[in-house]
Amino acid sequence: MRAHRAIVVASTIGALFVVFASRARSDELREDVFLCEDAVAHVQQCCPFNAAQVQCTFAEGCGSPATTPQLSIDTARCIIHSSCDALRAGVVCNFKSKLCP
Amino acid sequence: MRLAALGILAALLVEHVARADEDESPWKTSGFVIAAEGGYGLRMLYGVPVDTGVFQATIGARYRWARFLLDGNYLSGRTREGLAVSRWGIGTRFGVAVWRLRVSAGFDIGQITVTRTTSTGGALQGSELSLLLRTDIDVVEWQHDGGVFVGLQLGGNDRLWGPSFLVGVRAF
Repeated sequence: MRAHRAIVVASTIGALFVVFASRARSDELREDVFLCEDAVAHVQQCCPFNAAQVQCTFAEGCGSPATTPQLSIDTARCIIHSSCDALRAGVVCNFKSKLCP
Repeated sequence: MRLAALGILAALLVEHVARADEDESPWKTSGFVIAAEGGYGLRMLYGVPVDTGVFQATIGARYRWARFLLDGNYLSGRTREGLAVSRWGIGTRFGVAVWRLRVSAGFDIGQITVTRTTSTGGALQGSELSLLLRTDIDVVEWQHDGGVFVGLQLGGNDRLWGPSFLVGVRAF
């Protein structure tokens, strides 16, 4: 009997989870923002690099253009998959100049 | 002759099952469950691998072969590029237990946090719903549903998903 009651209580809590969860997804953790940050972290692993010079933020434009990360999703993935040797050796991922000084 | 042998075997099996049912008193077949576990979890966050440590605590109810479980979990780790990732979640699972094998499915809601590289303030935050599939095998069993188990859990959503390999202890 106690187990039955526990199952009823747990089912009710579960149903409440579903209602809450269906409304609970914030997207501050956007794909483009995360990959931009991870790509910069990778460059920092390979060489001295001032992370502050790259902007990896997103903001909705309200009367002005939206702010988007400086690295596109494709570019960020390309950097993440580039070896440190490649980053140190020369231009990668269609950048105009070397990422590593 | 073969039919007779099969008939005897079937009769013995039916008698064995009936006797097992008679032996099972309610306090053996129903009650509460509590478990704690930890292990390794590989997560893919937007396709980027994250190596994490996973910790989970579970309470629940059992009735014969059925289990209804509530989980609280926490994971912490890093992407291979060095970003720190942590996530906590609470969830619910429904499962069945047969012999030493336990299979369950459910979902959890959680809050994920990722540190930034480009600025010191404001980590990235996101909340999400994940679906879970899970298989546990009891390595050591003791009375009243207790035991030491290893578990394989696969869970996630379109953003964050991956398997966890867990070792835990369960009692009630």
